[in-house]
Amino acid sequence: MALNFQDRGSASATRVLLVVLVVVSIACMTVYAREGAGGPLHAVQSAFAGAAAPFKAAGTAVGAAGEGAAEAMADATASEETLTALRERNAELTELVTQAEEYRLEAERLSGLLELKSKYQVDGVSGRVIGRSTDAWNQRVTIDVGTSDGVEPGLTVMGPAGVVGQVVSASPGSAEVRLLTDPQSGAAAVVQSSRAEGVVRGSLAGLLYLENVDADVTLSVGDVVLTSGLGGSYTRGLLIGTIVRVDGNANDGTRRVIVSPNEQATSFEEVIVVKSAAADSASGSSGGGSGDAGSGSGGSASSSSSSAGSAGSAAGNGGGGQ
Amino acid sequence: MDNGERIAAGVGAAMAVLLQVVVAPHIALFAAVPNFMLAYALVIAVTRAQSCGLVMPFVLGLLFDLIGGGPVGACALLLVLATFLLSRASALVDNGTLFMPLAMLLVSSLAVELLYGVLLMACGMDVSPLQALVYRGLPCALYDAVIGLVMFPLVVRFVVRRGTQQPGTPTIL
Repeated sequence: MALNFQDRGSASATRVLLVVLVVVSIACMTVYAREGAGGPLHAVQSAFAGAAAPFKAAGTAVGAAGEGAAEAMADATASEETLTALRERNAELTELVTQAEEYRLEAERLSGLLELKSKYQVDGVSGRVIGRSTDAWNQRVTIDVGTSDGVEPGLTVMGPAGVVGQVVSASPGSAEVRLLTDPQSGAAAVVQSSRAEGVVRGSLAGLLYLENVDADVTLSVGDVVLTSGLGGSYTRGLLIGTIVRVDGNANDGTRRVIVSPNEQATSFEEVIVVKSAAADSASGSSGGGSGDAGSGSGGSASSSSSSAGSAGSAAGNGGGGQ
Repeated sequence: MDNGERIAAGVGAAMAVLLQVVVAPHIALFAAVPNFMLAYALVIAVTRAQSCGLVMPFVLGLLFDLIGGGPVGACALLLVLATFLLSRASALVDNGTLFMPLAMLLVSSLAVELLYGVLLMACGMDVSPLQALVYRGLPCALYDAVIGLVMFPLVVRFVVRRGTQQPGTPTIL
């Protein structure tokens, strides 16, 4: 009887705890959704992301070790005779060649970045990718430069082939970059040939869609898409990608345009955080807002064109998103 | 849950967090990143049906939200609800076979992943429910279930000490 009484007491305590935890969770979600990017919960999240950065960097080393182990496994399954004959002769050479190849690839990537930097006359800071998203629903990377290097939320991030994303939070030694392919990303864009404006959005499928383009504009495969800088979300005039598919024709309201992303999250290791670029400074625009596609405050488009205005505002009204 | 079990469960939770940060991003398959924290919380709920606590899943969920980029509180809410319901269901339908806990693990991980997608959409993520289901919900749930399958015997071996407490005694942690 006493035990039953105790059970009932514990059971009701569990129910009370359940209610409390559910209420706390919902309250956190509500505050998070309503506060801006500078709100307390976003700040705590940013601090945690900064604290987790060294562990993510360790994970990158673990990942490389895993790849090495996989290669070793592949070697182990090869013919023992062949391996014995080649192992001694090739061991040192293989190591040297591997190292040299690594340096060559790194030099190639860095030279690509430098080329891009000089092409767009970018003033920025370069950094390395040290971590990737810990969950499936967000496409982010962690880079090893932070507020101590002048990196701040809202700055545009470029990979070796063009824009890859935007800084969403920064701590002294690291920063979180939301990739363009993230469904919550939105960048005001312009098609280079026709000057048609729209918004490039990511998706869960990893594709980039060009939306909000005037229906009467003709778009073709191969057209180059650049950031327009409207809304102040992304630095103006930087390469986003090229149109690879157009489903539907001009004047078709349901037309769907797919843009090839510059880089996959797994393919780039070095980036440049753009503080300013020649095209950007020429227009007087600067990267300051957040390019979230979600709702929030801040950012405005100052264009007389209605489509340009809507594109800029749609891409630049972030700040309150994830 | 005695002190030894609490410590073992705590160590297991810490390892789940570490695996999530260090390993999970590097073993993603087709953009599906496994959720070690979810899998661990669910396995604990299944194996400790009578004495599964709510604080640990809440803390794990909150850490997942804070380390990742999702809305703070979303994963915490789902983990608390999922472990509570799963432990109750497990206590009711567990027939001593391995099939039942594994089936519940799969169903609950699918439910949590789908509801997490729904919460993200409610918080402003502009994606279609079908995309969320096909590209994230299903693959992630399957991956989580596989991780849970691997964790299950480890948790039974190292965390759960059957027969050390009176059955039916609920505890908070």
